[in-house]
Amino acid sequence: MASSAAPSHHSTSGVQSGDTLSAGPELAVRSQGLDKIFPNGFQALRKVDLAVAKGEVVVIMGPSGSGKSTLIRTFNGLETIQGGHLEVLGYHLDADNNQKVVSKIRHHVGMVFQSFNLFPHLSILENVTLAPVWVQKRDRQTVKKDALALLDHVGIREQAHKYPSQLSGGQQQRVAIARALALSPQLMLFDEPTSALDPEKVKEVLETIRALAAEGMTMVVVTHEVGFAREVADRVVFMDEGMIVEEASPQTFFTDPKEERSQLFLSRIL
Amino acid sequence: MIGLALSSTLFMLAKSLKPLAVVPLLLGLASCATAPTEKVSLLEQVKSRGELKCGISGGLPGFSSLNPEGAYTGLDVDICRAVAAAALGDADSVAYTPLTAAQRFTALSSGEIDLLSRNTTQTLSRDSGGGNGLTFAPVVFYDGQGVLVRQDSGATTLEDLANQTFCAKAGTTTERNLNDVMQARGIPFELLNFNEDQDRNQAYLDERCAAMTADRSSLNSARSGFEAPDEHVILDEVLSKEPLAPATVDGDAQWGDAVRWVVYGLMAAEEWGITQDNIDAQVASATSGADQENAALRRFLGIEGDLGSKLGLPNDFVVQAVGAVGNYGEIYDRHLGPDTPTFIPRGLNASYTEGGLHYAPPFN
Amino acid sequence: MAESPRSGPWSRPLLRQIRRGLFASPLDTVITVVLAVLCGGGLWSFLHWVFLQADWAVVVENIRLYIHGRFPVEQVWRSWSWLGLLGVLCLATLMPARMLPRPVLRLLPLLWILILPIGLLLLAGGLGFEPVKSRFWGGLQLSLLLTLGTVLMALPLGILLALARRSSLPLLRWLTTGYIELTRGMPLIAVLFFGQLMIPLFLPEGWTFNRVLRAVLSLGFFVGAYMAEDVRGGLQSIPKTQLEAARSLGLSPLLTVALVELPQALRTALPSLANQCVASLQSTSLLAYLGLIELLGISRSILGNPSFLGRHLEVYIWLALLYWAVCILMTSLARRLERTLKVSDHH
Repeated sequence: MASSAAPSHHSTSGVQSGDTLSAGPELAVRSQGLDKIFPNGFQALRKVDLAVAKGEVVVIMGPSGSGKSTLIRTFNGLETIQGGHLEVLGYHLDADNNQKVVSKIRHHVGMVFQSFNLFPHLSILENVTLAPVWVQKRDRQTVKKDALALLDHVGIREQAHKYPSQLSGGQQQRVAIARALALSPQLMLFDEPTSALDPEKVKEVLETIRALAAEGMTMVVVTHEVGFAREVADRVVFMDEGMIVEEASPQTFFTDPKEERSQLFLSRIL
Repeated sequence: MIGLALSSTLFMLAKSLKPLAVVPLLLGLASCATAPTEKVSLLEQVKSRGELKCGISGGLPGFSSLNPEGAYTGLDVDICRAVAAAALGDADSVAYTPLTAAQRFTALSSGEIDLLSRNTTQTLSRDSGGGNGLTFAPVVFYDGQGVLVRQDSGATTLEDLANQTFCAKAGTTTERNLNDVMQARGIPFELLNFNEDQDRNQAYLDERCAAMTADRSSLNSARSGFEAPDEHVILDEVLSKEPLAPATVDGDAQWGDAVRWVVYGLMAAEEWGITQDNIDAQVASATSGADQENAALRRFLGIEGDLGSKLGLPNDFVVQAVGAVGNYGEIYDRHLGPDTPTFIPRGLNASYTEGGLHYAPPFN
Repeated sequence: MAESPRSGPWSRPLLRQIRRGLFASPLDTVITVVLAVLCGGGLWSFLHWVFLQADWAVVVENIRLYIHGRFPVEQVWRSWSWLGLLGVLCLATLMPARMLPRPVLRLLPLLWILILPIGLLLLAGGLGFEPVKSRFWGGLQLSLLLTLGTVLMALPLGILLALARRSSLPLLRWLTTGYIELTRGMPLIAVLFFGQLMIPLFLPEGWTFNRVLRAVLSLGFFVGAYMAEDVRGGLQSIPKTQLEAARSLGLSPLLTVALVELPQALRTALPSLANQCVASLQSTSLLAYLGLIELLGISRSILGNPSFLGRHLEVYIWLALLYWAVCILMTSLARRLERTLKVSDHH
């Protein structure tokens, strides 16, 4: 029951020697023996061990149904876990899925979804300011100023008073990124952020994410965009059937995959 | 914007409702009187309240209706006014509650009203404790089922209507009463039933039937709505008894007595020939004029004795009541007399001295 | 008969359409002519009656009663003020949003809630106003007050019931489901009778309970059950992904409901909620049969006046006109709201 909510960055010293991660940097996420079993009995994650260092960009790839989305959704408590242990930004979570811990984690973790999931009844600006005002209880005026700056950053300041349905998919996804960033997260999760976009819109969104990576944001990105992974990722994680099959630098993964399943997957998408 | 406005409105609603919830209370919307620990007669309650709560029909021509000034008028209303004048000295201190037939007894037993003056037929089951548990005041209007015919038909009795068609309202006792009477007297007839008053009236006007039958008071108001009311007459024959009387709740003898004797007072005043106009002269005459030896009159007017206070009313309660609304005959004429659109001949409703049924016991 | 957009009303396509639609065969022609004669005749005799035979004195002379009921004459300005405020509020709501200053626009929802307590203050008195008992309220004024009270009670109740119905606490869920299904299975008149007849019997002797309040409570509880189902439908139409987005932003369950789910659910439910509001107005007329002198009840009492015997038709046509006017106003308010909210939906 290690669900103590106290932040414990120093605990990274306890990283086991067998970890794939180079020892030293603080960890943003560490999962150990993570199990996810859906109520219908389907096991989506099988004993997943993964560590993400602060400032690292990890890209997760894998065929559909491999559990990659489920994995990052456990990181902010959108999916409960049934076994193993999860540490996110120093908060510990295990199979009891303590809601207090989950809500603390969510204050520091931003997430971007495949289908944007903007709030259709709120303007772009309101989408971005909603959480800072109501969750962080920050001053409305400063939040608004910050939000406009963020929208400027992602290149849609002019649309601030429009509604989501008036924007293109690429613009909506950039708003979603701004919305997640508005809470000043220490970790960003991207769940197939470009899969629902028209091909010509993919670039603008990837550019935004790339810029974010350049600023040193810790990110876990589920995507099929090989070019993006190659350029931006510090590490590629390949998953299949709820397990991590291979972890490698993009260079190694795309040119010289070790595992048969990785090779098969890459032969299909490249 | 609107979305936020909506949701923040919800929050504001929660916040703002707190002070608002007090407003209706402040305004006395939920006016709750404390339950009396001891049974106090309604008469005392009315006097301490300074207002009589009277249940009326609110929409029956001649008995209770609204005039354009927003005041209720009618025979039932004048009974309320007479009681208020007798008990409080002010005929206007009445709070009227319009009631439907279904509500009237509940309103009385729950204390929503003090007096029910709403064309209610006095029957055994309504009077008895095993029934509605009412106490009836004297009958103020003897209604009964009557028959309306065209004047040019020349019919004056039911026998004249043999083998003719009658229009009636379906599902009421009207139909049964007519059958009973006609069978008993061996008069053959045809019956045409309607669901609505309007349809029945129209059928009669279209000469689909020679006669129309309903309570005489309602025949009368139907007739007044016709284009030529004079061409129709109500026969003298009465097919059923519908004695309409004010009622109070059982178990409050003092209040029941007070109401009863106010109504008798109105009738006795007519017997004495005391009217709204001459009441002051009558009082003067009985006090120190020609009638000062007339002990019965002096008692009646409260100049001598303590008849009123025996009831818990002022001794001059009759003077107050008659001064406010007139005697029974005047009330009748005002609302149902020959000069009104709702004219109903006095018939049974005349004083016994004129061959009617209204008869006040002695004021001794 | 749809007009061709390119041509005037009497151009050929229209004529052809008329011929094809109404005079295609001899039988069609006969039916068309017969129906035209019947409709025309009916309309003619109706207009003839309205303008030549009807005696509108029963409406003209009693106009104050229809509007304010028995409200004391010297205080009638208070009733007028409230109706006037209500009118101004309707007008402000119907006006194009651009023509209103922003603060006013923001305050509109609050004003719609405040109009009820303001109405109660003006009509009932208090705070310096001479008290007027609720039995003097009546006519249009009472009908509107009843409708407003019912809606303002039923809407929050409906929202709470809808939320409770999907609660994770089984007892709460069963209770609300039971309440909603039971209420929806009862005729309104039975509920009203219960409110007007049974409640007084249950109260201790000597306690009375304002009739208007009783009516609003019964109506509100009834309409609330229907509104709950409308809101529930709206809630169900919200994609799960919206909730995930809200949760990932750290919104608490309460905030998620208030900021994300309800605004969207209410928007979806708006047309049916508006229907319930109009239905509430019409339902208030049932209270005439329980002794309230709202619009229909006061008409009953006016028709009892011997001077206006037999003037039913005039009165009921006038009433139909009044109810119709208020209903039209309500539906245009609802449509206006719908249009305003739609900006954020598509396009």
